[in-house]
Amino acid sequence: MNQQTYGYQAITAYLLGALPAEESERFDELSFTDDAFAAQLQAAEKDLVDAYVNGELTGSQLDQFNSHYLASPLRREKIEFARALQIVAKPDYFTETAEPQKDAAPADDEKPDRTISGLLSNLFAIPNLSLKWGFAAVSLIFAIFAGWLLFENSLLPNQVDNAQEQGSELQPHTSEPLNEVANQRMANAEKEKELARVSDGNNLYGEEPRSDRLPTDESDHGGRRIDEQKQPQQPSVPKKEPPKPSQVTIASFVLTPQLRSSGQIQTLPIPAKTGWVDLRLELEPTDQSVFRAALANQPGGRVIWHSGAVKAKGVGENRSLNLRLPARLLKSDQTYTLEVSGNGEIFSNYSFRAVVK
Amino acid sequence: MQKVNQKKKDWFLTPDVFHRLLEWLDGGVDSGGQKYLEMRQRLVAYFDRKNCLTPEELADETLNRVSRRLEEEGTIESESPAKYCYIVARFVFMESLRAPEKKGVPIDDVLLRSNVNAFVQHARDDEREIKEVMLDCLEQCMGGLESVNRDIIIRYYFGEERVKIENRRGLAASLDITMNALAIRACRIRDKLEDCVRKCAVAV
Repeated sequence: MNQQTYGYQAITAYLLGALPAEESERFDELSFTDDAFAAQLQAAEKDLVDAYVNGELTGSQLDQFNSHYLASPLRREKIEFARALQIVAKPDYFTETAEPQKDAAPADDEKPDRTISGLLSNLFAIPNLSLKWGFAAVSLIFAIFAGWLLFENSLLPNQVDNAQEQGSELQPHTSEPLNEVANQRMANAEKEKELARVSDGNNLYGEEPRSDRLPTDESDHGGRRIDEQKQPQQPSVPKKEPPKPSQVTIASFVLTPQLRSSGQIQTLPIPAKTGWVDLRLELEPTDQSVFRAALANQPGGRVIWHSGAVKAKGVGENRSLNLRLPARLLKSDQTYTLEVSGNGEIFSNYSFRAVVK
Repeated sequence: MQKVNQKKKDWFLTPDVFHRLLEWLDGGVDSGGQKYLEMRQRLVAYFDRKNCLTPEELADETLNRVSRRLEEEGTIESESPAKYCYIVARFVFMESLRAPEKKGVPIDDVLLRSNVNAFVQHARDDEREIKEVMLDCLEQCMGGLESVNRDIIIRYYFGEERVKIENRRGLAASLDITMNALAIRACRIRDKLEDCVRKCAVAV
């Protein structure tokens, strides 16, 4: 029996009050005068308590523990603490990993589960009280925000329908007085009806009159941008009216987010008589569900068209945003950027080059 | 004699005397009060092992007597402060055995067995509540630990028997320290936790 083992057994006997008086007194003195012995004594006591809590003590040791060690309130507190520590001192207690197996020693580089559910559990398992209150506050803010989003969502159908009309309101430099627009519409009502009968397919406007779809001069070969319509114009083009389905031509494209490292941008071949351009924007992973899009020409970045609140379609990583632009906004050989944002944050940019054939 | 006893009863620890005690315990190397705390802890443990009912009071009494000696004589001739504290503690313990109101609980007394039974019964009745309080406080205190210390304490005490031993070997290797050094380090962290939990449980 080596010295260390003997020392441990003697220390255990000392803690259980089982040493002879003379030996016990020697250990009493060592517990004061010898730092190394004092440390060893403390460690041995903790191991003894843990052994008791784990049910590893048997026979006379267990009897001595019950009769001697448990006699002290301070030592009984150590038992309760050791019991609690056995529960808490598990790798999965704070990180919600899989249950450890009794016979398997965990690897030194074992990492906790990093799935979403695991991370969510980790968040709420964090013991720090201030962090708990912080997360509660953040959760409350998110709940309020979610309620607001639901409210916004209920208004979406009307918002989408009026998005084009409200677009100019968001562009203070490009909006035109509504009275002026109304007057022009009234003055051109008859001419528009006649032209609508004659020029089938040349109706470039949406289902409802909107401020950014002001009458254009068809001789301009594509129409004008919103900012060009500040000045009152001669009503040289027919008034807008909801197109009949058979008169509307739509070109559809799918756009992917612009990669920073990529110098190439997508080219959209738009037939000349296209009325509307439908764009399906593939979204990058985000929890956001409602977005706004702004079309700007490049270079310059001047916004020429603005959507209302648009709700994303699809689920998971296959979500997309559907937009419909008036084709007349897109000039041939012109580069544009669609900036998608939500909740005040820019999510993605979609650049493309329009080629009108 | 009565005047001496009265003088002893009227004596109280002043800040100056306390600082002198700290300096004496430090032995010339300022420990920031750590030596005092260690000595007090050893005194409490000593009286507790002797089954004294009020180990903390007796520990304070021991340190008060040492402080009074320092104040009265200016210095104490002894092998070491620790040795002298032990000698005084022995006297204090003997006196506590003679004083009937401070008598420690005898080991083989039938009363002890009934206390143990009462403890067991009490523990069963309030076990759940005590456990919940202890767990809540321990969680809180664990959160206050540095992450490296929290990792040590979890890995040191996780597992049973052989698994625990293997874990400790691996932990010591990863920290590049001996098993003994690891045991001491884990012990100190656990002491901090125990102290924190004790204060927390009182506050609850």
